[in-house]
Amino acid sequence: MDKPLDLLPGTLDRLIRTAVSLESLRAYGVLLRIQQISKNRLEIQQGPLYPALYRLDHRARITSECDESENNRTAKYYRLTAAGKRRLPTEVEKWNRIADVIAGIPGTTPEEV
Amino acid sequence: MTLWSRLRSWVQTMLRRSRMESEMDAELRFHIEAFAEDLVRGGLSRQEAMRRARIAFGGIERAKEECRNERRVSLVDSLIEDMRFSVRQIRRNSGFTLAVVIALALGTGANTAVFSILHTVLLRPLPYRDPDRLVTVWQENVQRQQLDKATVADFNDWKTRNRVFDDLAFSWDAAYTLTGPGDSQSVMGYQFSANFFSLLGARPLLGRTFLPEEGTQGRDHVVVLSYQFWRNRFASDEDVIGRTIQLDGGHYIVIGVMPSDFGHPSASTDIWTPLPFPVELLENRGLHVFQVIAKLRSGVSLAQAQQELESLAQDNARRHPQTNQHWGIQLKPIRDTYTGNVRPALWVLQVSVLFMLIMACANVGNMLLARAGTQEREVAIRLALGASRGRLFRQFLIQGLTLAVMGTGAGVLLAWWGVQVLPLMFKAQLANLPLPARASGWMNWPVLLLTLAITAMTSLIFGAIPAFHNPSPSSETLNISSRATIERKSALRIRRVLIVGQVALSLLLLVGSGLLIRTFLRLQARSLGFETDHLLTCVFSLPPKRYPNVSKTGSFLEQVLARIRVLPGVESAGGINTLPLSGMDARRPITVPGMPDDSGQQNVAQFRVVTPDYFRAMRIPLREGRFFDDRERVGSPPVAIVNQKLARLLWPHSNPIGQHILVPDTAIPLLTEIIGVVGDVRHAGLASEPPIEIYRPAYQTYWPFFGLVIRTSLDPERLAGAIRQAVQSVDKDQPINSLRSMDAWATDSIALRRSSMLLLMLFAGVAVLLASFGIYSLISYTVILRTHEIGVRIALGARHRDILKSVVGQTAFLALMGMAIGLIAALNLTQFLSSLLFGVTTTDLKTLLLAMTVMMAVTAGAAYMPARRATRVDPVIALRYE
Repeated sequence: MDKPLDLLPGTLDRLIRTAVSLESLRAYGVLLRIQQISKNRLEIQQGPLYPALYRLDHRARITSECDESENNRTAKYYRLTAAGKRRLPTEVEKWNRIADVIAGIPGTTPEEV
Repeated sequence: MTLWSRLRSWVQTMLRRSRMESEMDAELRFHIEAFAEDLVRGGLSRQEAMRRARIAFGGIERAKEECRNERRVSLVDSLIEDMRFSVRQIRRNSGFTLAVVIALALGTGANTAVFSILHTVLLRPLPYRDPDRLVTVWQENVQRQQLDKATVADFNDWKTRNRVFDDLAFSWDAAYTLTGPGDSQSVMGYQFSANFFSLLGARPLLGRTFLPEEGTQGRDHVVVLSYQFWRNRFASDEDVIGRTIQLDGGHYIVIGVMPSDFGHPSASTDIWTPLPFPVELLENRGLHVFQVIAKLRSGVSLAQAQQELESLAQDNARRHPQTNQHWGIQLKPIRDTYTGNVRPALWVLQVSVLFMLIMACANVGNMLLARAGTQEREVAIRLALGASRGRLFRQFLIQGLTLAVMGTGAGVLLAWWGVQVLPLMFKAQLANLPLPARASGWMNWPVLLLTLAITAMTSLIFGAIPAFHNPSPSSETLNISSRATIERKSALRIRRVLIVGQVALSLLLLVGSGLLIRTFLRLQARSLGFETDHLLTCVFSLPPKRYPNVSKTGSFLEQVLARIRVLPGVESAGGINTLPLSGMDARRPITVPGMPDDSGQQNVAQFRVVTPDYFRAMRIPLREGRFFDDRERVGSPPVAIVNQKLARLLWPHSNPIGQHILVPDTAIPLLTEIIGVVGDVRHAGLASEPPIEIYRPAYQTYWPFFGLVIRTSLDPERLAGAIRQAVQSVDKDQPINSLRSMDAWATDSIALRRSSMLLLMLFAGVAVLLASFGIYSLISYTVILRTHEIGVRIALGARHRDILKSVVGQTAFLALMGMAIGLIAALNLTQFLSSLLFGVTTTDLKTLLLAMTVMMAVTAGAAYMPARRATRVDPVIALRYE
């Protein structure tokens, strides 16, 4: 397996939103889902995941609710808010544009500039 | 929408703090357990799995803190935390905190209190129209350098011939006895010319002041009441206007009440009545009776007016050499009437207390800087652990703020206490000024706020210095042993400058208070010429209506004294027209028939009217001849006693007994025989020179005011009730005033110097303490800083003396520099004290030397204590720091 990649700034927020857009997840679940989506190619710091979750929650991009977990304990589940859902398509598009640009940068040759 | 939801989220979070915390805990615990679970499935032991899970997660607490940060919980949280921390710091360094708080409290409190008094007394606007243009006009005896009231003829010249005044008004004092309605009471009155109130521009609280026509004979039976008198006698009854009251048996209509801040010429004036122009004195240039105020024409300066009146006086001196030679004119701003000699004292105190505030701020700065040094390591460690600079800055700011709040809070209390105590210390001097009765009226809030702001700024700025210092969390900083601190060149430099300044200011204040102490001791060593202890006094005025002549006043005095003499505890009792130290005065020109008048100048002697036992009661010694006795009755040959000074002046080479002298007893000069010579008396107080005095017997001479002196074997104050009864058993309508001991008069007469001395001593003491504390802490700091080095030196065989020299050397230099600056300042500034001094010059060598010795001793003491610690450094322990 290749060495996992470090995250570009802002990527974590993006990944979290994608993760919780599919179904509501616990925080640990978000981590697993991101690793799954990225096919374990990204190095996700476990600690910083939580501040990111709280930040998105505070900004009302995602929301959290308490629910019974599988072993009958209350647990916090995160999901995308309505506003977050509405913004998702435009953000995906924006993301793709940035990804395109970034993908093109390393291959740039002097003649193209 | 987003702002709102964020705010809502924040509020909810704040409200459900504990829930958020437990949720967060549960979430994180589950995370780690779940991760560990996965690892166990991968084949690890449970214990190892948990360990790996925790490592993989990273700092749990840090993650939590960042979560809280995201929710802006931490803002409030960390504020509370910082406050808790500073309270802990304060508890831990209670000595340090106490020192800072005391310094701040004294600086702010004393400063506000003194300035409040100064403002009320000297700066507060007078309740007049154009007060800056109002002046009092005095005639000045150039030879004796003494101000006197104006004669009627001279006043008339000024009024008709000047071009510098809008108007002039005249007045004189008049004591009345109020006989109805109600109990009889003696009343301090003043008679104003009809234009007096309008010239001042003083408006009444109720009713009106005098009309122009009320300044004429026959229409003058109207009276204006002072606020105090209206409140005390008429219970603030607004219907008093139009009522009739009886003054000396005459009927007067109350036409007005003045507001509480009006009191001319003094706050103790009770009533004002109109003074018709005394036509019978129109040509009189001998009796100085008028107290004159004038209003400068707009655009005319005091100096211009002074010059113009000066030339008028010179003209009059040519025209009336008999009376007006040697008489000049003096103009004074009207405020001087009320403040008198308390003005320089208040300014001196204000400046001293300002110095003290500067020192307090410097000291607080000094102490906080010293602590900043010890905190650098802490700052470095915290930076290394990931604290943000903003967070650190906030914490130090809060520490500074906590100190500032404590210090200034104590300062407010001190100021509150001060404005209540200070006016009492200067009571006798402030008696003339209409002043607020309650302390809240004294307190100068803007100044209090300003002083509080200054000190708060000081503690904030210096308190936040450790955060400004930006120590880098370098290995160097962190490696320093826990007890050592890092030397900061800039901080040390500031501290050195502060020390020099403190020593200089302390020395200045020490010299000032030293001069006042010497003055006080000089005065105490003098004798008044009579004995003040065990002496009770009282004062009364006999209304001319009921006591029109000497047989009436004489028999009243005789009966009263006879009744007092038989009271248990009374040794002797006498009466005098002008009680010494009370400020009462009477003068008469005297001439010796047949003696060539070489100077062309009349001798004016203090004129005393006394009962025979007066000298015995006062213990004034008889030098020659005899005292008065029963032989001096109405109609017996006129006799007089003179004091030694007058006897030496008139008959330097012959025996004064049996000589004759001309004294105007009433209007006509009376040929009087000298029968005795008595000791001199410092009539106006310890700082005054004895005047020339002539005594006449009370049973031969009419006088309407009297003071009694009663020598007792008991505590004089305990006889007060019995004395009052004795007077009232002779005349039940006769009120008496100023029933107090002669010691109280004596205390009042030196109160200004005494209070100034005590306050300046206090300020100087505080200043010296602050300075010595500053030196002490600087040297302690140096010693701690250099413990290791000193240890090495001792290990290498340095002697104690060398160690001391190296530790104290620089501070000693700083102290000497401070003393030099202080000395120069003292030589230049103490001149402002000169009006308070007596018998010492401002450059008094003894005082300067003494002050310097004290300063030197204190600095040496403050430096020695920590320096000795340096010599006791155990090299073994010191080197173990490595």
